[in-house]
Amino acid sequence: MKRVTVRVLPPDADNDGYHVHLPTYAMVGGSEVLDGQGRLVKVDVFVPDDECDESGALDKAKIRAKYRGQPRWDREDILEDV
Amino acid sequence: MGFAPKGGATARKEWYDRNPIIRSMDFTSVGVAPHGDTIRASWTVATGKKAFIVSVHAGVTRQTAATTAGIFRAYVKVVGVRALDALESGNTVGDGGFGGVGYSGFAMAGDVIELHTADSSTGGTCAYSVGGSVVEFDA
Repeated sequence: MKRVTVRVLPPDADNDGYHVHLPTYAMVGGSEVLDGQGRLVKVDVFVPDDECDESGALDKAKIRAKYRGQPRWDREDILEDV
Repeated sequence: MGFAPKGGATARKEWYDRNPIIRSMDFTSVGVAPHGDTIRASWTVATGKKAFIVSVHAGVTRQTAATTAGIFRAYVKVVGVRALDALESGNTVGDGGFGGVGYSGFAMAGDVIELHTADSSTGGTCAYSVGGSVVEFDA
């Protein structure tokens, strides 16, 4: 697993809670960053090794390949909201 | 008349023999302030894979009293359904509960397992532990 810092998004049509726009992740407790209104805006997450490059950064091509054909994840803009 | 032999060199292996890998997911945190429903962890079945869900667990404990107590909870959502929900409303330090169950179900490519927490109280803090494990294998 690799640890990366990502944005937290509010509930939307696909998610009934605050979430990270990644197919597989686990938030790290205590890493939350809140804004002035107390809203969760950033957090550290662990993501699978096979979704990252050698430097530990998220790898779009690897994520698209792993979830090939799944409309939510096999798309060019997959990391734009991360 | 005889019976056709079972198996053979080209027989398809059972699911638990098709490159099985145990995957675990977990979220644990203490001293967490009230918050809206948050997906603490998400696990999506990869293309070309399936998963057998082995177990799930969820637990909550109130750590400091709220000004106004609400519902605090941790739950596991399996393919859109709450499979286990630890839901409490007490406002005494130590109020809470924990549940863990063996689970038996398959998830297909694109299916999602989520770990959620939420606390509708005003003030106070809670501790959460929620997770699960699956065996992922070739579809």
